[in-house]
Amino acid sequence: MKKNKITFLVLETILLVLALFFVLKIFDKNVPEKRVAVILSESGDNRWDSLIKGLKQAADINDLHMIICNTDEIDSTETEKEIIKEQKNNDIDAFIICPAPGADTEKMIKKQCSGIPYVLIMDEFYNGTQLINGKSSDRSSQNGAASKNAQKSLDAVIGPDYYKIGATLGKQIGKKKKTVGIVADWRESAANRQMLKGLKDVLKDTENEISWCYYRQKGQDICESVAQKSDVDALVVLDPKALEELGEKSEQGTYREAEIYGIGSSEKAIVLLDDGVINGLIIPDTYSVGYKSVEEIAQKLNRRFYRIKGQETDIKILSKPIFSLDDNMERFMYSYE
Amino acid sequence: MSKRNERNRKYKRVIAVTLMLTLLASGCGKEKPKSNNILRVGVVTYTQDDPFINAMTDKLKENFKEMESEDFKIIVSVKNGDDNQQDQNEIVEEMIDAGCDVLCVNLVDRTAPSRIIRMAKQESIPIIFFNREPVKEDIMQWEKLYYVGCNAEQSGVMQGEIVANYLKNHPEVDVNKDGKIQYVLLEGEAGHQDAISRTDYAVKTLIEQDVKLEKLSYQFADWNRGQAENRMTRLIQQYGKEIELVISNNDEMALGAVAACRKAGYRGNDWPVIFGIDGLEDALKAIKGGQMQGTVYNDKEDQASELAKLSVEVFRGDNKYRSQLTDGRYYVSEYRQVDEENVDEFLEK
Repeated sequence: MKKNKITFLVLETILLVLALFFVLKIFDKNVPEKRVAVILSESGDNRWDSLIKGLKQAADINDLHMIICNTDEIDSTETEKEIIKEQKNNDIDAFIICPAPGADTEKMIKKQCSGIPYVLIMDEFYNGTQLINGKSSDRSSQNGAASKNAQKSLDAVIGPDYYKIGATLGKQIGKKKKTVGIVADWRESAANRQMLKGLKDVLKDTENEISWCYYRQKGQDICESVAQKSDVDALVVLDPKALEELGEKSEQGTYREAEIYGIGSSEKAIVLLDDGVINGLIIPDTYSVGYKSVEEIAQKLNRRFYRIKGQETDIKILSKPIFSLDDNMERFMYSYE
Repeated sequence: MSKRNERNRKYKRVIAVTLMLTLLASGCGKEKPKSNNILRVGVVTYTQDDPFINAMTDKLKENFKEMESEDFKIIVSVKNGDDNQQDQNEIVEEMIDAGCDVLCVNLVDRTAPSRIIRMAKQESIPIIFFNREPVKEDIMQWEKLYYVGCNAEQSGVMQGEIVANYLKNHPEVDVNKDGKIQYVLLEGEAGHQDAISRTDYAVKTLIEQDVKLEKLSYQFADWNRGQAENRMTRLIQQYGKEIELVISNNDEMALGAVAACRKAGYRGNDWPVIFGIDGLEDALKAIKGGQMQGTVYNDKEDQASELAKLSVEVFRGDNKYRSQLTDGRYYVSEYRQVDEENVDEFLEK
């Protein structure tokens, strides 16, 4: 009788342990994925295709749920604030943010994201001191590289070295005397300032002459605005979206006389280069930007005291005479499927 | 006994309160505050490579901008399905996930909207389909589904009329003077309802108007200029100057035919007469320049305006425009014929 009781108790204990094990397993699998919101200006634009691919692949590997925010053009701090606020109500655990132009963005993001991990991509905060001539507190001018600046910055930035991009475009134009027109991105963007500085630093040692510099403005047709400017021998376009628009117009003969150099990350930009419409193109490795930003955020979400690190990503330099479409390009833009 | 009863009652009360709190907590957790001052519109097109759709989307964005006020903001996000229904479904899912109040969807495959409808219905997000009309059974399966577009049949009839008119006034089109017009067709997609309707009704109308026709060939060019140029180049190699008329399901392909003729070095009488549909700016310019002879204007301004008005209305729950829709669901925009005589009017739009 006593033996039966002991057997019964042992069996009950085993069953209890098994039941506990399965319950734990079930709940273990039901742990919801952490939700990461990604804020990009005009998130449906094709210039983000490879970046989003990188984000999604890394999110898949790191068991994160990626939310690509529905956005129009983010041209001000206020617009970005609305999106952050909306996503905070959407049970978000972390943010990946391309900061809006403007000196107030830093303060706004720090306030809105207080207690929520975030990483900046593609651009750092514009603080108004990033002067183009580099004589003052321009952080990039102190060491000549935006990347180092990013690593030193309190806020981690994952993106390319914009100073190098500007300088490389300057080198592509060559030393022979040319008049140069610059189409820049938002005036209050740190990346834009650094590209301009790199470009100007290189051009000042050549016979080239900058005729004008046009900054992107809200609600303005870039092609119309550029058409109203004086004729130049070379157009340097530091805004990927504007490069596609101007390239298309040029294809139709609008700026046929001017050589076009610029920064782009879409297939369209490469086709324009292949067709000879663009003479020089710098492609930032946006796939890596997306991938690395998710990896950093995943580390932070898994390890509370992890400090998110800024990283410099590659750029690919292409110029018409030596360029041909090949598999490497596909690999560079979209990496591994 | 009474003590035990009292204890039981106490337990029951505790359990009831706990259950209520649990239910309340689980109910509140998922509730997302919705602002009436911000309308978030997700626009999903079938591809990014269709100039007509792109022009319409630009117009739509302009309309939304104009409808904004200090206390009413509209955020428009435009994405595309990369010509793949599966991809488009995923894009819609992402948009819903990120937060969206109204969806405007230009389907990749008009016969496969079920998943999109199901996802939207779950979150009670109204969908306004545009340009590619889902079958009526799909539209009617939920009261928050609408369609803004045109009647493909009408565009075919109008194209037929405009071609017939031109041929009557220009007998020189019949270059070989055999009393018949040798023509080629550039069609959108195989099995696509709009392509079938446009082709059928254009040819049927021509026959009804006593135009003697001889079909040399037809080619599918996926609504695309580059593909149409390739197909037309091959047709020129095969039939040469026998081709007297090109009927295209849209302007993009008609412009591809123009490019092929230009490449072939055609001039004057060699150049076949070319007709398209849509009223793209490039096509209007080609009509003005004499490379194309006519098109049927697909009123993107009207459709974009209706899409914007309807989006705001369904968001606010008003019933001003909705009450005027056919069957309470359909807005059908009218096509208009364009030829060299009235092309300036459309170029000014």
